[in-house]
Parts: sequence; structure tokens; C-alpha cells
Amino acid sequence: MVYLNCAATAHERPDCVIDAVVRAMRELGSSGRGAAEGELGAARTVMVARERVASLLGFGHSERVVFAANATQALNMAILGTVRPGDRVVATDWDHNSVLRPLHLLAGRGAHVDFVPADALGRLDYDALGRLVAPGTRLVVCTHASNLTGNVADVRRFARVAHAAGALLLVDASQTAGAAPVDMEAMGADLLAFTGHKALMGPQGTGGLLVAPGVDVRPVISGGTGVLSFAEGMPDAYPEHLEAGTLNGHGIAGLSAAADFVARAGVDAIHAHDLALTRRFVAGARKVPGAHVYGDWPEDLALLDGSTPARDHAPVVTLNMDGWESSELADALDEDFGIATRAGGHCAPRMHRALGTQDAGAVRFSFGYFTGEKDVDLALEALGRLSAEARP
Amino acid sequence: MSAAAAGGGRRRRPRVVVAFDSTHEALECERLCRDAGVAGRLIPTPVSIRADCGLAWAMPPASRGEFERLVAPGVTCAGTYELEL
Repeated sequence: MVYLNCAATAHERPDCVIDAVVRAMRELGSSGRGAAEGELGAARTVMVARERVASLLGFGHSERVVFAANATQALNMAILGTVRPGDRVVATDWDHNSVLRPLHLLAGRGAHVDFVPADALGRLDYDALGRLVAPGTRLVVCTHASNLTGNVADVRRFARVAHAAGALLLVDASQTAGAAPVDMEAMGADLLAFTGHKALMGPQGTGGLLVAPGVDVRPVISGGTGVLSFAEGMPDAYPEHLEAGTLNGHGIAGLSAAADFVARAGVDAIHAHDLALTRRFVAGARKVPGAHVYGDWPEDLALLDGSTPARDHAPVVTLNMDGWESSELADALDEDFGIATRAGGHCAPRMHRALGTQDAGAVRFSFGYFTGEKDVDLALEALGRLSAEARP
Repeated sequence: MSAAAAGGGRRRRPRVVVAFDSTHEALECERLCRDAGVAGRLIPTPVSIRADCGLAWAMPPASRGEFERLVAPGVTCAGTYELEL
């Protein structure tokens, strides 16, 4: 199989990740739930994982790396834990349902939610950002890279606008953590959500929220933390403040190994690898008769060198092809060529509406560390052959 | 095997115990102590300090000076106690 659905999950993972999970399952107890060797081993493993994740994401406060089951849970923690009824929130058309749905929930409770619009190429209207974010705005949410077009947001610009209005900035790094340089502090993010199982290549069931010092997030879930058992509320100290219940220690052991693997491989090198594959695929797709690639791409793809947000791109390319429904195209790629992609709405309804693909859907190709040029070329060859088979 | 496990009873000894509000802080303390060569180990927080299920750092009294000098500045403790454990 050629796996080109890395924006959904890594699928292939380094052996060290699998070994770490297996070792943890054989040897480790429960972090923070005792002082025997197994429990201490688990606690030390989790602590090292926090440090590795913090280091990889440009965050100097590993004790404020809060683990969660996935980016969705982390985003819910951040949104529901900072916004109150009556607050104003500004998000964007790029946002995933992991952001949109908690915001819709809050809107039903009296929060006021605005969205920075995207145009038919998926480009964000930064002028609208400046108009919508005003004193009194509590939270601004910015998706670092669209999971549909792969375009990259100017997060520093979001931070400047948010902070000028006294708002917090929450960054959704689901498509970039592990795939591109992410420096939370340089970005100016107050909160950053990541997932462990995509470009970081860790196990599913891992992710988390980085909470900058001084930022107050109310716990959405309460329960046991291993400390202060007789207190009625959650502990004030991080990370326990937001970590109720037994941690996914086995998964976090794998995430730790994954973060170490990515750091050793070098995020810059992975980013360059992914960008090269993306340029190669788009250049080829442009030559396939009837193929329509979505998003904001320069005519000269060599400009995509990652040097600025406008010249950067997540390894995600979404397209449709004349004569094919998106679901049929994805099915044919799978059945006839063994190529895994993703059709449908990609949990990004506002972005599909912006692109005009809310009814047709689209087929997403996404690449990762283990994707090679050969895989990209096989996909392009398959698209070419299916294009020739297109029915009127 | 401990003396208690061998059927001989467990002898109490004076210990300096450092309590924390966070497992993370306890582990940070353990690491700093290891790096600084301060003797001791993590134990379940004694109930005489507070009813808690967290971790505490226990060390012989002779290590307290080194701890205060080399480790305490780098950790956030909830309290330091002298106990017979």
C-alpha cells in the first residue's frame, strides 16, 4: 500500500516508538499513583515526555505541557476552559471541527463567535482579523496549517492582533507539530494544541495542550490527580491542574520516543523533505488533465521554500478531477492502485464552503516522514490513468 | 529484603521529608538530587504530613545541608519536615 493519508495519522511509525510502547506495557505502572518502582518509572517516563515535547515545540515550561487523548481534547480544554458566556471569540474558516464544535457549543451558551473568512483560494482575510478582534475579545483561535489546503497561517500576525486587544491566542498545530518548525514562544502563542499520532509519529491516543505561564485555564474534567486527594477542586499546580484520571502512560512512552526520533531526525530536515514531496506532487498534478488543485499555490513552486508563512506549506494537497466524484476517485485510487487518500469533508466544513467544495468534497493527499518520491510518482501516474478513464 | 519483610520489624530512622504539590515537582527534585549527589529517594507522602497520595522526597538528616544548598533553589516545595520513618 502507498499511504498518502498522513494528515489523518502517521500509519507507519519508527520501531523505537513501537518498542517504547511495548516496554511501557510490560514494565511501567501508573504515573503519580504510588512510589513503587513501576509507578516511579511511569512518572519519570511521563516527565521526560513533557520535556521532549516542550523542547520540540519551543516551550520552556515542561511542567505546563498537559497531556490529552488527542488534539481535539486539548482544543476543547483550551476553549471551554478560557471562554465564558458573553465572551467574544474569533476563529477562522480554516478551523477543524475540533475547534468549531466547542465554539458552537459556547455560542449556544451566550458566547459571541466570529470567523475570519477565507476566499475561494483559501486565503485568510487578515484585514478582517484586525476588524473582528477588539478589546473585550477573550480568545483568538488560529490553525497553524489548514488540514485541507495545507496553507500556513501567519501566526505571529495573529498574536500581535490578539495581544493588542488583550486576547489570548490558541494555536492548533495538529498539522505542523513534527512536520515543520513550531516555536510556541516565538510565535507568541498563549496556548498550543498538538496531536501525537500525525507528523510526530507517536501512538494514537496521545496529544496535549501547552499552557503559557500566567494563562489560566479552568479544568473541564475533574477527577483524581495523584496529589491533594482531599481537596474538593483540582490542584492549582500544572500539569495536574488539567490532568484528571490515569494518564495514557503507555502511549506517552511512545510519544516520548517519537519526539526524540523527530528531534534526532531534525524538524528542519523533515520539513524540507515534506516540502519537496509537496512541490513534486503539485507540479505533477498540474499536468494531469482535468485535475483541480485547491488552495493558494505560487505559479513557481520553487518559491515554496518554507522561509515565510506565505512561502510555506504543510504536506497536504487536495484536489478534484473532472469526471470523477471525489469519493469515487479515492475509492479507485485505493482499489485499483493501493493508494490510500482521504475523500469527504475532512472535518473542515467552513473551509470546504470557502473553496466551494461543500457538496463535491475533495480528495486529500498527504505526505510524511516515510513517504518517498516513488510514492508521489505512483500517485501521479494513477491520477493520470484515472483521468484518461474519466467518464463524461 | 527489608527487616520487616524478614520478620524483624522495621526500625524507624530520622528523615527529612520534602513534600510537593505536583508529581512533576517531585520528579524534578529527584533528578536534581541525583545530579547533585544528594542521598535519598521518593516515597509516598507520609500521612502525618497530610492526607495525600502524592510523592515526597525523603533523605537522611545529614543530607539536608546539601539539599538546601544545591537543590532547594531549583524546586518548588510544599514544605520540609523532620520525621521518624
